[in-house]
Amino acid sequence: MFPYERSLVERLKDEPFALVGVNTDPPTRLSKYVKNGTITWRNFRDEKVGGPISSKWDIVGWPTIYLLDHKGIIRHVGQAKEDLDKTLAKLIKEAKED
Amino acid sequence: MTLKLAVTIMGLATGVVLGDGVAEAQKLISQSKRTDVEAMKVLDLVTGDLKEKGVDKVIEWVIENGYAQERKKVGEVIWSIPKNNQLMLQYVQILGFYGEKEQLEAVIAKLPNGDVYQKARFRLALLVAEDAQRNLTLTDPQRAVENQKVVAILDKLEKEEDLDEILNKWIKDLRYKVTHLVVGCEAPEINGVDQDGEKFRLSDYRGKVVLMPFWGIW
Repeated sequence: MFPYERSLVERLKDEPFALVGVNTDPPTRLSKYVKNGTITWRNFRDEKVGGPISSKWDIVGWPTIYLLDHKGIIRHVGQAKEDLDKTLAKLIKEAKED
Repeated sequence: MTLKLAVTIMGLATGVVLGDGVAEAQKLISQSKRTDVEAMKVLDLVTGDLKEKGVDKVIEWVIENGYAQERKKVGEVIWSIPKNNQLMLQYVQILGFYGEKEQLEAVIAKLPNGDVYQKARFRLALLVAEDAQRNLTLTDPQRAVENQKVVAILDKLEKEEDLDEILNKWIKDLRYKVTHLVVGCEAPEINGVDQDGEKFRLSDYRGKVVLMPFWGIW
């Protein structure tokens, strides 16, 4: 699971970039996937489907992806598994030039 | 003679209680299979008997089982049916389900206010919002225009005096979504706890591009 996400974390580690998840599993399951190396990024614990964060963000499908620029503006909302390389490169360029 | 009279009376009785068209339509419905729905035929049978008893059940069946062409035609005839409020609510719901914006607009245009008007307007707002989010051919500025349309529909809806509580909440939620959670908005703050139990905020990452998947394995 999540090979693309892990590759991004590795490849962009020296760039102005962060992968921050919102996870809807019970905390023990989240810990398990962090410990076994599947999840290599920081997550907000939302603890269940329809948790407080997912509810506030009106998430109805999983995984839903939000992409924010360096100013915290939402630049893309996607449903899943897209190739985000081009969009990420563009936003990282903007962050560096600002 | 007696028999003939009886038949005539029965015929009259049927004609009074149930229009011939309605009876024919009900017969067709009862014979219809899931694979050969003849909704237009059923609809045509009752269009001359719209004031007759039982016609609302026939139209209800057409709304639920027909295609876009039948729903369009229902939009023309439904107004002639007495006490059609429940039927109208159902019609609006199905139009929302199939994403038929033009038909919803036609309903809205014919009504000054009331619960059917309100639900139709809300469903229209919902469809515009969904399209704005899902249509990948839209550019970000076009998306923003669509979201503005949603806000305009909701603004007008909120001027209604007798909105019920649930609809009111739906309106507030949708407004929040199109004004806080779409492209171009500043991301709402998240004040939370990470996998190690450490507190942190989304705004800690200002200055960085943030990819934020909502995920779960369950």
